[in-house]
Amino acid sequence: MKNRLRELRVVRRWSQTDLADRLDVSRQTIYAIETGRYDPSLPLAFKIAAVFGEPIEGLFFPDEDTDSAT
Amino acid sequence: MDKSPKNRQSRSDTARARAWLLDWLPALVALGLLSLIAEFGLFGSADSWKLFWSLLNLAPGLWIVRAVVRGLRRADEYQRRCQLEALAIGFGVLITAIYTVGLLQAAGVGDLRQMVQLSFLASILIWIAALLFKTSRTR
Repeated sequence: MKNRLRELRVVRRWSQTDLADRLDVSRQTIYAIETGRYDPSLPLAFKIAAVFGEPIEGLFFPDEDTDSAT
Repeated sequence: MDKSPKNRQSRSDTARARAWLLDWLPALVALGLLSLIAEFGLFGSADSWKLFWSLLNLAPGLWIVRAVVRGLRRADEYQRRCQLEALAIGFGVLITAIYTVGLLQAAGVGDLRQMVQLSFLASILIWIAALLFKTSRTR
């Protein structure tokens, strides 16, 4: 999946650590999500959406290259 | 290591690291003490109490199992996935190594008892290496 995490985080001038603190996860996790190495669980995705005040579908998008095969 | 504010650990990272240290420390201290006792033959560990002191190593071993389980429960979902994958690799290496040692022992290829201990140590090192490799790009 693709996501807009980095974009929304940078707009708010938050570091990855700031966002990690707000979500109570590690900075590694934020980096892994932002770079697409890891797709968050639904509960964490809801938490991310709440932190940014955006709907989940406004944050995460299917990646045409990888998701169409599944 | 870069300790700039941008790359500092999150609060949950710091809390987890502290808890991890507190969980592991008693076991590591106990293992160190038991090694010293065995090495220098103290408190009868080289004579009549040898069996007792040998089996006492199980206590810190079980404590480490407890520490690993607690660490997994504390980890967030991404860290947990990385840790489980690394544990699976370490476990696979251990099973394969011990099975191989058993086969060689059964075939009469000398006395390979030391290899069991080495397999155990190697699997722990491979577990740690796999975890570091899995998470190296996200540090």
